[in-house]
Amino acid sequence: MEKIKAWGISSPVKKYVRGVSFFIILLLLLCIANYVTLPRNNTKKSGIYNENAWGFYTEPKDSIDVLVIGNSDAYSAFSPLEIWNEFGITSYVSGQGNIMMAESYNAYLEAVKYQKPKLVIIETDSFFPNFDENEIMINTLADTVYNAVPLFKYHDRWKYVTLHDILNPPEYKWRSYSKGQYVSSKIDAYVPSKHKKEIEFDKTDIDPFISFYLDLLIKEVRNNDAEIMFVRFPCDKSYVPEKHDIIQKYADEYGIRFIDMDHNPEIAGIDWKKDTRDKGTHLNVYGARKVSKYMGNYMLDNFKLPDRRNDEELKKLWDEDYKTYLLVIDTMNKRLK
Amino acid sequence: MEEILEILGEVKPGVDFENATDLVGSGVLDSMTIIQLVARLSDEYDIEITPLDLVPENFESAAAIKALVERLED
Amino acid sequence: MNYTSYLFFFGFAVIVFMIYSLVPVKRRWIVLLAGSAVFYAANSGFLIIYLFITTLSSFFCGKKLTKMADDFKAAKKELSKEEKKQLKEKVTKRKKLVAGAVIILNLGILAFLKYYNFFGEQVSNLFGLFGINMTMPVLKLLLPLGISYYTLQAIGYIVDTYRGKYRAETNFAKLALFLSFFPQMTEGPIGRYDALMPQLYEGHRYTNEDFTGGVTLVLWGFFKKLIISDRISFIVGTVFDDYYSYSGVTIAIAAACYTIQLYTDFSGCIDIMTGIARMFGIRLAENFRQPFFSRSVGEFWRRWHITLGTWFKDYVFYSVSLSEPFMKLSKFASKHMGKFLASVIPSSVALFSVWICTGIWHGASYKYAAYGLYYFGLMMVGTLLEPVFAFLAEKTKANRKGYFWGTLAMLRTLVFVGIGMMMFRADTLMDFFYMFIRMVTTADFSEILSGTIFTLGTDKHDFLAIAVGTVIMLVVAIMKERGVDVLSKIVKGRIYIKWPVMIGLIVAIIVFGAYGKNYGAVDNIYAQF
Repeated sequence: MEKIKAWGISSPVKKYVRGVSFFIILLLLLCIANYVTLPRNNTKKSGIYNENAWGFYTEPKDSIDVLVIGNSDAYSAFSPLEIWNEFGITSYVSGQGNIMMAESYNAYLEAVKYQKPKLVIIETDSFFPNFDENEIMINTLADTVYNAVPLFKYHDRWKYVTLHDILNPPEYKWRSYSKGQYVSSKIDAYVPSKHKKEIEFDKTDIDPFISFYLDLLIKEVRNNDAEIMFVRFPCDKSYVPEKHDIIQKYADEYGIRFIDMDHNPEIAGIDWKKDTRDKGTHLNVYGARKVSKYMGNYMLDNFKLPDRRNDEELKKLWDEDYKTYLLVIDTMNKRLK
Repeated sequence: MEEILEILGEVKPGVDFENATDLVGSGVLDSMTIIQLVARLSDEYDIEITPLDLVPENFESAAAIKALVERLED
Repeated sequence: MNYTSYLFFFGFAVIVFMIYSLVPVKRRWIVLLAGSAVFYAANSGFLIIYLFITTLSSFFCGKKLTKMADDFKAAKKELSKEEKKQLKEKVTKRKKLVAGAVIILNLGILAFLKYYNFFGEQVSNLFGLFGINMTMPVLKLLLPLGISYYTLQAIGYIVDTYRGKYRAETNFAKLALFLSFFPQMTEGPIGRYDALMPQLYEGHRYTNEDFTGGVTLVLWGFFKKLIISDRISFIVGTVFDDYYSYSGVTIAIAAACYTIQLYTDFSGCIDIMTGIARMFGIRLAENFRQPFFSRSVGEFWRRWHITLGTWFKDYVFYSVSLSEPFMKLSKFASKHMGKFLASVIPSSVALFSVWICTGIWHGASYKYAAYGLYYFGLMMVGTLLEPVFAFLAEKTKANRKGYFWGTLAMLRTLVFVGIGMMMFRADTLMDFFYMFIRMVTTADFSEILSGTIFTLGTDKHDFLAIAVGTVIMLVVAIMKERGVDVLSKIVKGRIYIKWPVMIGLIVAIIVFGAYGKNYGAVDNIYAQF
């Protein structure tokens, strides 16, 4: 500071220089903290939240043709391996429980860094998160901040940082054999009630904090010359006709196909006595099998998606994963018995 | 002055009131003892002490208390 | 409110501060008023009507009281001494009526909103006891933001104008600002008109010291809340919600943790608010003065939530103990009872009223009433046993002001305070009793050795963060106790001290704060009162 004075810089400039250098030092330290606390792998153990949603990083580059984005309904109902086995379409489901659209948008941006999906399926239960307006606002802002500055998301990793971490930059190595699906063969029946719904629904439109990011997401997908569709996966429990009408209106406005498996329950043919793992909140693998069969046929009929079984290397990889998938279900059934 | 020191001694025995100058600040007179003191003073001198008079400055020393009493007697 | 609300709040304050700085100095108070109105309306919506009623009624009441005092002064000049006395009595009676009516109105609003459902339930239960099925309807009452705080401010203002401490405010907008000043709306401190109003009204020019001082205080508050309070809350919650699963030692630790939690939460919030006001050049009243170094529970309450304690002293304790019936009781006692009892009985009655009020101010439940009575009991026992202590000390030649006995007294006070905190946190009074009995009857140290303590929702790393944070806080407190105000020294200090501290605080809060995906947001404790 003394030196600056000697150069004859006037006092307001000096103040300005001071203020700016304060923030530069602060920023530098925060960048260091940011780097140190970043998860070193894309696994839960390394500090990643919802690791299943982030397996697309390690699939062969541009090998995923269909990307499903949404909440837990998506990762429970959509089975990429079933679709692969029957139709040869490669897909990945990136779902996170109670997701905000801001985070869905972020997931898409992350995915297209590594993959070039030709079709993006947006799961629509996440258009109406189970929060009040204030919580939606706060959660959306939080997600926005988290994704802009990972330090805020991962700061708690200070607890586990080792010297090895500091010296080695993050490297994502983990693959999701199930391609993001939550595999569970548990059966916990649900009896749909025809007269009374458990939820109160008084919204007349999609929350502005959701639709803001939904608009961005749609724009981004179209910029990448990919197709879009909306799907509501079966979840009778959280379904009300008003939700369908609001989304249908939105979909028509944007010219997006919309399949609603609660509005038209016959298309997936879910048997709530057998196809759910937690009393109707989520589907199990049997439900997912039905949904995936329908989705596979639908995609084949309506979108130009290649059969990737011609690609030897990819076929080997996916068939292997399909085997693992069957094995996991088998082991699970044995344990459940 | 003697009288006031006597009353003070009755309310809170064992304190050197003659020379103390921060009775409130040092915690010798807390609000409980001040109330007892006020009851005795108003009885003894037939004065009306109001809440406005209950500020630390009026009770920091025996002299201050005496000044307060004299002011209220007028 | 949780920390996100405080972040919003701080952001809002910064915007108000920028506008404040752009407006001519003379008009700056209007920015504060507008900011407060926007803040309140955004927070409480139509409930602002309650605040408006309180402001309006205190405004006209104050004006009327001052006018009556003026009229009396003018009239008494021509009167004889006897007539003066008569007129004074008459005027006092009328003043009492006016002030009393408005105080009852405001207390009534507060009491109705806060206590109606509790009393309704009690009345229903009472009828039920006699086999009469009469239920008072339960009302969904929304508590306007800060009502427990601004109502006390308004009553203080009315009583002071009644007593003639100052003249009533003649500008409605200014009084509205005093009652609604936004940093005080969530958790106090409870301001006094004569100390606060001049500061609010006169515009303050930007000074580096005020600004950085304020920001540092805000950071210090976030440090306390996010690093210590919100982290320690998990241990507290786990044990208090499920105390019958833990042994006495763990319960005692949880009670100690809650004491730390409440202090860091409450004083942290006050620091944030005081810091924000400080940015505007406004000094809010001090609310905490290192309370845990107190040597008696009486002293503790003079150093903990100070503005509440002094409020009750000035407006309840003094009002009661200097009232006419009370003075009669004193005189009666001094004539018919022994000297000691004569001095104890009257003040204990006044003290009782203070503590029962303090207790139920926190909320409508037996627990809070018991909390007040607990401290009343402790104080009374202390007063009654004081001669015994003095006698013992004299016999044993113990120096009660010395280091050893002083430390002992401090520890004793901490134990009493900790038990009080336990009552404060327990779900119901019965829970407190069970918990307390469990604590003293199951002194099992095995839970310590087996590391149960690290399974209560906080791991070893959390404990480390809490410990380091608490030690830093303790060092600052000890320094302050010895007359060195570290924070203001740092602010006034040179850049190579100031910057590392400020930057260090920011980085520490962001990295070590208990916020984000692994933590639910933790609500501030005192905002609910």
